[in-house]
Amino acid sequence: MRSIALTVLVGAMLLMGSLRALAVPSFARQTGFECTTCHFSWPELTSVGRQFKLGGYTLMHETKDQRPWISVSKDGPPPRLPLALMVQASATDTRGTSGADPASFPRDGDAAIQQVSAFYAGRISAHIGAFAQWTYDGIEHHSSVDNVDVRAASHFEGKGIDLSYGLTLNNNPSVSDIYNTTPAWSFPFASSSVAVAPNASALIDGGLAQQVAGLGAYAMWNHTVYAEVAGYRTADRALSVLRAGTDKTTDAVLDGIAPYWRLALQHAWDESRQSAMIGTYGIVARKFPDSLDPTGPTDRYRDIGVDAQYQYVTDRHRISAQLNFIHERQNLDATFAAGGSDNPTNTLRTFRAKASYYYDLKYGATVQYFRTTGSIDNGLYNSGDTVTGSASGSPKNSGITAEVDWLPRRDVRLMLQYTAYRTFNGAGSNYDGFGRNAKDNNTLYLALWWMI
Amino acid sequence: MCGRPAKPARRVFLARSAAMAGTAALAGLIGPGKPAIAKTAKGDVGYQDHPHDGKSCGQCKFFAPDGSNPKSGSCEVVAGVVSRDGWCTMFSAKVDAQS
Repeated sequence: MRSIALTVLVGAMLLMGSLRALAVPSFARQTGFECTTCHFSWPELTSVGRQFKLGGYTLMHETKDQRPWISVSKDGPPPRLPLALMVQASATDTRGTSGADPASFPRDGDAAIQQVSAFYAGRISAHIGAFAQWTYDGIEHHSSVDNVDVRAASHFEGKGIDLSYGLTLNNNPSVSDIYNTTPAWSFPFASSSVAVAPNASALIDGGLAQQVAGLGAYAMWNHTVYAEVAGYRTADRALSVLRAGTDKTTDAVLDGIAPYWRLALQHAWDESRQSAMIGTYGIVARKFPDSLDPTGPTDRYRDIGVDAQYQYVTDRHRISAQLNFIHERQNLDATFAAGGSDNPTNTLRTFRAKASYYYDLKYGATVQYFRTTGSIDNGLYNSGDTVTGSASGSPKNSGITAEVDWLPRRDVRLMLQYTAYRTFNGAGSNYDGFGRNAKDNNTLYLALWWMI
Repeated sequence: MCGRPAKPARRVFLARSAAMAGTAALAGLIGPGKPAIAKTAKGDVGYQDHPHDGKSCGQCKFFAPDGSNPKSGSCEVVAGVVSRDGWCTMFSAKVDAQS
């Protein structure tokens, strides 16, 4: 691991040495802001970032100069094409791999280009903007569409009312949200793509990401009440661009429209240094168990989330905390009838609590506690496999993720992350029935994250 | 037999209604005659008429002083007249300390 770390670190230094001093992404080039104006520490948003997103990514600093088509300078006039690039290089070290099938740990111990993304992120017209990401997966050597959020926004002020409102067309429930508690934009913002992951998660917790198309309407009233309603459907026909390049054999296929809702109450004080939010969100979706045969009965998922966030933001000290709880009720009419589950109905509960501190905008530390519990179901979770199976048929997993970050420049992040499991796929010891313990899946992850 | 056929029809109606409402709202947002969002409102960025931690609009790179009144000016990102001594959450120092 030491040699891997050295390789990545040396690579990081070489890359940073060749960077231009003012290389920043397209939002910063459009607004003229420092990254840390909109971000607590990217990608977590501050109140300015939330307002920018509510405004449909359209805010642009005034200029009398001719705007170039493409530019990497943030001090010049905003470019007409808001393009940006992201590179993530990483190395993963899993604690216990001896005696297990090496195929379960691809690229473990190797340094690799994990991900390269291209963005169209910024204003399209006065009222329309977009955040659209296309990602090359350096592990799978495959590229596909990533998060997409196209917005049309406006603002009304008068008679004691301040209303920011708009529409969003996106491909991931909660990607349109403005807080960093909901699944699409919650911690960890980067994690290993080769580490073994627990086998249970709620549908809204990434289970529909880049597979569906949703049209929603949102509004922020008097900087206090935020509400959003949306309907999601299978991203097929004209909407298939929202899942371009993804695996159609596993992509979720929904029956009809899945309603999504979001309601949050927020407050800022101390001259906007401090802010807090409490909210709820959720989705109800009917999903065909076989994506290649979307006929017959469906499984119904009802996910309800409760979340809260606190931020203290100054240039010297920054503190943030997020809580998120998701309760999922699964009515597995189709899967149960086909013999794929033991129970006709199941529940799944996920809880996450995260706290971060950043000093001088450069040095950060984050710790997160996570825990998932739910119904025991051998049909769903006990696959009989080593490493990824669950001998007890329980979805239970819990543990802590700790991360330290160093931002030598504001567009470069070097991060070291450790995930320690207390329980994994149902138990702390011998969880797969082949003698593997939860702590064997503890993962050390070193990553360089560069925004261009 | 009585209840089942009504469900898809209701769903189709709701979906079509939502699509029509969405289209109408979109047309309202992007249609002709709507003023452009050139700048953000003061209330959206916590604008105040006094400094914050020693920082003020006069030190901000977005501030342009008014020739006739040195105490006030305009901002590249915030709408309306702003005070040289004011501040908002979009404050960006004139000198880039990073580079």
